[in-house]
Amino acid sequence: MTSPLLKVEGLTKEFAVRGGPPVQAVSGVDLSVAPGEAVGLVGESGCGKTTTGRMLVRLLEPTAGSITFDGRDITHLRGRALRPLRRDIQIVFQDPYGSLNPRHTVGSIVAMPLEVNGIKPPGGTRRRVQELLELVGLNPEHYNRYPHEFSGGQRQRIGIARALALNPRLIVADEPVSALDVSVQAQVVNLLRGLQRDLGLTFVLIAHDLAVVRHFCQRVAVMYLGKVVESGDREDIYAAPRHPYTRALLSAVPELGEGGQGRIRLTGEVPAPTDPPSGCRFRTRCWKAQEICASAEPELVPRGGSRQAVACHFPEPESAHAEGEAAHGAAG
Amino acid sequence: MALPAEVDLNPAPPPAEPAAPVAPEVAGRSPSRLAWARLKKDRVAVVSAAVIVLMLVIALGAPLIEWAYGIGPYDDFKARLDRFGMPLGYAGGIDGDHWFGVEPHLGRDIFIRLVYGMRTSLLIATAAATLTSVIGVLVGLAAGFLGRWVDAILGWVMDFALAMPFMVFALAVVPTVALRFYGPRDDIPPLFRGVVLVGIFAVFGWTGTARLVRGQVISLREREFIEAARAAGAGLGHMLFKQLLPNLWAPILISFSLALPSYVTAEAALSFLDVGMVEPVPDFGRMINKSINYLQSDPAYVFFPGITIFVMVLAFNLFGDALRDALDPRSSR
Amino acid sequence: MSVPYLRVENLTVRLRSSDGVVRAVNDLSFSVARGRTLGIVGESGSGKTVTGLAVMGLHDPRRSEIGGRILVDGVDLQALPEPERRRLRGGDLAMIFQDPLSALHPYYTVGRQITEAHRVHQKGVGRAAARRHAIDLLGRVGIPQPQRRVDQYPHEFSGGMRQRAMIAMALVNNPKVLIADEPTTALDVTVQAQILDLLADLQREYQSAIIMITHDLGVVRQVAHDVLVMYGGRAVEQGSAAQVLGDPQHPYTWGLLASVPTLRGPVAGDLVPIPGNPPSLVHLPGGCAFHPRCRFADRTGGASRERVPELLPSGQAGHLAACHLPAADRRAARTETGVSA
Repeated sequence: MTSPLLKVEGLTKEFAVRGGPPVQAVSGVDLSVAPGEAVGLVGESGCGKTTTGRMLVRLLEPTAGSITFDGRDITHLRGRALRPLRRDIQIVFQDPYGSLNPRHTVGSIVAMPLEVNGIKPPGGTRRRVQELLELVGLNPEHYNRYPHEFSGGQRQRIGIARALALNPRLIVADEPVSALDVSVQAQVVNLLRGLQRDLGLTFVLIAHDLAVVRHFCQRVAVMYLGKVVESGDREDIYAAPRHPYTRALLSAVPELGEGGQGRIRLTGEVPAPTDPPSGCRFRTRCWKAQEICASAEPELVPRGGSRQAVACHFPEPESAHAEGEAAHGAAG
Repeated sequence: MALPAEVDLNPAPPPAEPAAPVAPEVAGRSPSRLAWARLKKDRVAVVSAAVIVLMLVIALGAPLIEWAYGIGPYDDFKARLDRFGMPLGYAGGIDGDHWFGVEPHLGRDIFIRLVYGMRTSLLIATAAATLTSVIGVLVGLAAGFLGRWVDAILGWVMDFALAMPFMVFALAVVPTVALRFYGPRDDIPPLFRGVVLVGIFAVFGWTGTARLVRGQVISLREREFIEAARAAGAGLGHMLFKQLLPNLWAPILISFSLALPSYVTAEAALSFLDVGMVEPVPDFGRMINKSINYLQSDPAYVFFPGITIFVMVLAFNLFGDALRDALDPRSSR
Repeated sequence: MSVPYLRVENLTVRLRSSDGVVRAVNDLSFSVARGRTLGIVGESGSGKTVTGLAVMGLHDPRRSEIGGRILVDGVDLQALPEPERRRLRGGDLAMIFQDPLSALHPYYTVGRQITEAHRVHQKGVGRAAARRHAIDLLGRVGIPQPQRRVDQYPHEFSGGMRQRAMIAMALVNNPKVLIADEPTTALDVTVQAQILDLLADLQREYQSAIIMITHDLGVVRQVAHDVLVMYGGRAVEQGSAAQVLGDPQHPYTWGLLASVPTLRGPVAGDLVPIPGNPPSLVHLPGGCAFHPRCRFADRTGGASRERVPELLPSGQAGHLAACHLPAADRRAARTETGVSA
């Protein structure tokens, strides 16, 4: 395996709360992303995936842990030292309405990263911006238009063009399609796939939609209450989830096709991050929980010789790959 | 405001996606242009704007009007007064030479004094509104965007400014300041008086704009386009003036246009109370102050400055409201 | 098939807005029997929410024009005076919204809101009895410790709990028609699954007719007996869930089915999106509203540009579709989109 482009170890973020103990939104996340790879970070609201993404692009200061980018520790870079990093890691936001300045033209929105970094591209800023607009499937003539004149899908393309302006190596995409209409979602997913393929970009996709992640990411990490509970290759995670939460999550998605792996209904809700359960954080909703789950926290480690790491004392048995393929065949 | 020179008004649909579903007939318009279009459709706005423009023209062109009218603001026409000092003729001495009549006792022409009074009034109000807006915007931006201790300190200063009684402060400070620079017997130049007035307005007037801007900045600060700029490595100046300020023009313009008439009345009030402009400078407040003594004997004297200041303030207020509706159409629904 | 309890005939809704007249719903007809669920599927601006609000009678009469008939148990709601309609609303007719915070009053306890809805519609119910009923309902919609929760305020509830509380409020008078407008869109999948199960259980118990308004085909597949696909304010396809999802007849339905990413099947290729964007209801394209995005539009001999296609029987009995594409060519065309029958 090549050395990872991004390596995250024990990443933790605490938020101060007025008149109370701090809330741990992210508690010790490990993640590694190889160059050219797309890794999906999935989980339900409040699991810490967005906070993790904000720390990766250094919009939030990590409380503990380390982020290594291209072999360099970037966890606590500040001010001037952060600048070159900003060029390498960019972010695409969820809200196609809030993420573009309504008073700026598309041209100045996409040119903003060049402007603040004092970059004069050969051939001029305008040319570069028009190249970028073309790259994301927009009409370069629309340089002088304002965001309100575009649809949600087109705005999301503008946001992607802005993220590409500095030729980043890693893009963190935070729910890039969840605010879009179904028929438009597919357009943007395809665009991102194309960028990964053609430009060799590395992606961290943060999403709650497991199906979208499956269509875009080669590797997946599932988060629950501030921790990664399972991570591995797409094929393994979707065909043979080993953590009970991953199984429950997959079976909860209403599917178009027939069948599915038996319905699992979780009861109750995610506990408050102010007072997480002891031991395994999922145990309060887990049908397999036993005494050890309350006393010892399971480590996220590959179990049974596979690359699929799972943080569970009683993981689901590892199913042979062939079995997963058979399931594919039956549904398709 | 900077508007793009080239706006594509007749766009071809992009190859991948047809034109945006939102109101295709207004394609190629900036938010400011849309507001401008709404403003032009508003009849109240057009009429009040016309009145404001007329008053500005009168104020700016006062010397020209004086030349055409043939009478200056300091010329007296004692011959037009009777032996009690009251104007001869009807309604305060209105005739072809003196359109609005003459002042009792001094015999100066009321029309040309009103023309010059408008100049004084608008000059001070505009200067005060501009200065307070600039201070308010800077304080609001800093307090809203930087937050923490900057916000705490500025908020404290703001509360302090709001807690001081404006009138008492003005009544106490103006004479004191005048005495500090000029002797009790000296003539105080009108320019100095004006500067002191604008200064007092600035001390008190910035809080409204500052609060407004601060509130707007706090809600904008959370928007993702600000985070996008930060993620691209933008500095503080870019954040404040390139990202935030363009989104604040609407509230700033509205508060500016509503502040103007309040300074017109405040300046008149201070002059009325003898702490504003003084004789012989033509001024609305002074005119009303003096005319009060003749309320019964020469009602026309109070009528003309009174009605002018009323129309002026009304026009500014109506225009300010119309501007708000045009810039923020949701607020009117 | 049982007798339809709710019948909507030729519903037309026009809304006045600053941009012009919004032709939100055009000539829409459907019916729902008790104990059945109709799924209304569409993207933003397809008119699906407006339809739900029209059935409830929640459009501001000063800004809207509603044509057609809405019959509940044979009574035309459009002909009823407003006080009687109000009596139905929250009684026999109830609605669940996407955002529970907009439906729950922030300053009253959840319990008080439920008991008030109860006592307004059923005179003579005592305070204590209404409270017992509220606690019972909260328990039934899956809120733990209902005796304690009943005295809490909406902000003390989590998103999923609020949705449950709103469902409890909607169910307090045993509504015969329940309109659920994207009830789970804002929720996480595990909570969504709980809420959908809950609605199904309650339907079995009360035999309500449910209209499920959603953009999620998976949700429709799971809960709906019948499906109505809306586009540009019109029904483009209508039939039983098995017909519409299993043997879709309209190119828009094909497009939707092909563009949705799935948890199964191959992932090697790109998704097949529908090009373009949903149309604005103020400036609908002429002819078939879908024609600018339809890859088969040029196979209709220009008809799709000129005439609005009629909703005609196609496929099996009871299956309707509004498409100019000749029925004989449809199967082949569908295969091209990659949607299998």
